[in-house]
Amino acid sequence: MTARNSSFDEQLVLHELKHFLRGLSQPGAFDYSNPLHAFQGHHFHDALRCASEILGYQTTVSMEGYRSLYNAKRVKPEILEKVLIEKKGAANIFEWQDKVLMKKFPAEIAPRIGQLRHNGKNRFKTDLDEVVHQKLFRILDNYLDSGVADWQFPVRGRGFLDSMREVESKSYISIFRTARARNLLLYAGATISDLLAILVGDQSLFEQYLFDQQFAHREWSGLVSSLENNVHHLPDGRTISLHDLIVFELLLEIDALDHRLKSHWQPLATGLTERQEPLFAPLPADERSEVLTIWQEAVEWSYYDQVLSKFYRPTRDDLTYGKPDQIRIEPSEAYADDKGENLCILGTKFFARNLALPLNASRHAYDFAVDRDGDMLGNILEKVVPSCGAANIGNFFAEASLHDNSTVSRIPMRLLCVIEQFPETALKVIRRCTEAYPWFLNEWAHLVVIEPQSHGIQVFKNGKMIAYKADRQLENATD
Amino acid sequence: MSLTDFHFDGITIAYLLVGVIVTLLTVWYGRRNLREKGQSSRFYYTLLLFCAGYSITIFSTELKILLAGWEIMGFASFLLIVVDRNLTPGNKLKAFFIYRLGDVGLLLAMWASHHLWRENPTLVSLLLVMTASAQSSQLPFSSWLPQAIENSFTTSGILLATLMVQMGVFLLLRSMPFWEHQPSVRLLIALLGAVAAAMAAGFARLQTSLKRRVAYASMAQAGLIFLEVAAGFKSLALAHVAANAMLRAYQLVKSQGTGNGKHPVQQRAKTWEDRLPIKLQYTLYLIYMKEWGLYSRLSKYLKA
Repeated sequence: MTARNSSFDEQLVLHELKHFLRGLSQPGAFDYSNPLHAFQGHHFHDALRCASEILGYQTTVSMEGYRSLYNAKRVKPEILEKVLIEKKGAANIFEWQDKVLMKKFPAEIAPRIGQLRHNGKNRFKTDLDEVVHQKLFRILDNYLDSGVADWQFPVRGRGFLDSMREVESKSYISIFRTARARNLLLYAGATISDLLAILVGDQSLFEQYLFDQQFAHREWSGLVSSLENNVHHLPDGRTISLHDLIVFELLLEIDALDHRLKSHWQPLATGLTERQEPLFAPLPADERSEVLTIWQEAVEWSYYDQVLSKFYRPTRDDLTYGKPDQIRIEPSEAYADDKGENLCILGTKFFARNLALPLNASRHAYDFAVDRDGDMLGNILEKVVPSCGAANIGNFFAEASLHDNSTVSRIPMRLLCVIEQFPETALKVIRRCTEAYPWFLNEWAHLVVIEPQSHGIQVFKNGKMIAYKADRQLENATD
Repeated sequence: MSLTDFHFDGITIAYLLVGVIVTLLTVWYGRRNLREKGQSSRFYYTLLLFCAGYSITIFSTELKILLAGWEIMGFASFLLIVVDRNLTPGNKLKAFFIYRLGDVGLLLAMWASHHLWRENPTLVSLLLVMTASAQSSQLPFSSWLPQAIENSFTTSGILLATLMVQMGVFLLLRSMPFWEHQPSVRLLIALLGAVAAAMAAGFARLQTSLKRRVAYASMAQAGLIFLEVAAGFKSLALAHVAANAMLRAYQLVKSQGTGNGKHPVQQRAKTWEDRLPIKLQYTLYLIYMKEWGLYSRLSKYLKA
């Protein structure tokens, strides 16, 4: 993040806004660019926490949702225990078990984003979003329309703000309800900071205000900021930029306040008693987010464990039972999006032959014997991991399924890559991968390596390979 | 109940035919589209309820039975709007409130026709006109239809945009004896229809969503039909109802096939609006884009 001081740099703030809005181009539908892009350098769970507690995304299943999954036996107790030991140590396991299963946490935490404008709402006694959004969206919708409406926006070949200026100056009726906003648009050539000075007053709050404002309609802002770079997507030589959108929205807000409060109002900052934390101040993990992290890990590994246990075939069993029967992994629609592939398997045909894999697995033929130094493996990983991984991360933002607490039908999960290779070779290969390695290192995707001869399973964690015991293996050991 | 309890005339036949065709179309279309959404059985039960209400209404001999059918139909169409069970406050409830308002008009009309008919036929007529106009999404209740259609499945939208909207016209046709000798009421109906047609036709041209466009187009046609009814052209009105219903159903079915994945057009052909003087053009565009201010004003009062 860039250094922040009290003065307001318009270009810098616009640049940062675009950075955070990337990947939000369409409501509900993410392209393969990563929606958590802005937090990419972070460890996965930190990024999720920031996205949820700073920017207000709903990124995980709710606490009750996880607990009901546990009660429905879709999170296995032994896996939860394993995660607890790994994260908190064997000594604290009972204390944390209690927290995970029982402790009451406040239902929702108000994200940092939106709080400044919430203060404004209380002070002005006006919900600006409610007053402004409808009008703004309608105008944007008509301006950006590409061929559905019969009667197109009448100004051609100009940018958004210029078009508005043109219409406003020549029409017999005004877009606005009061004179000041109209004059600011037509004659003053007001910049963003001029308008913010009227609305907010204090320079140190400008950036926060803009983030609040734009994230109140992040889909629109995301669309605009992506259209800014793809000019040819708009017909009739129209162009739009985030700058234009912000100026116009600020004008509408000034208009709304003038209309409502008859110009008897002071900038937002004058009545502000307590300053909240800056938007991007460091955000330490609290107990609630740690518990959520534990749950997410437990959910994912409960599912992965089921998959991995199929790969494990003790030689002893082979002798007694001969060929193992074809094993079916239970349909995974309960776990994950049907469309997304959250399993990626790289191995020989023999390796995957005995597995009736769920539909959401992508299989790549890969022969470890041919690929001794792992060049082929590296190429595949570089291609597959960023695209498949991002699709899976996108599921963490598929809002509809997460908001609904009553049915936890689809649980977002990270990608699991299963590779048939010698662990040392695999480790060397992924360290060479410039694209894929950060995904594994920050745990944005999981990597499991299966040793071709012994079928021993190893998991990549914290830059090392660690032996993994599949659940079935544990059962066998205790028998 | 004997066969003579049914009313069977040209109006009934026309509405019956349109109803049968549109319902079958909806069933056929719903079979393709609702299954994957997992709402199909709920949808079909609601559809049956709707058909029952629709039939009772069009076959009714007297106002009481008509009211019974009307109630069932109103309730069923509300269920059709919320068939996805995604009830956001405000938008979908609006349709419900407007139906209720129409029902109250009908109820009062029924009561007034028993007690006040001799003294005040105008009041009864006015109440009937109010109900019809609420049902057909005419002024001043014009905004429920586009919002209801936009927020519901296309399958429900077909029924709303075709059958539901035309029931207001049906009520006017059925109650013609009440008001046809009162020039003032006829003038009012004509005026309401004309203004709504002028308004909705412009809105329809500006809409960027196909569903909303169909809704407004349907509303504009209903306005014209009001005009025809007021002028006494019964058969023309019936033909218009049928033609409009078919066209809207076709447009909605088609809209789903192509989706919104249109390729952006780089340069569009000019429309007749482009030939207007520039000041007038901008002014008209702004007026229609603001939907005459009706939309925001109404949603202020009808926020649930």
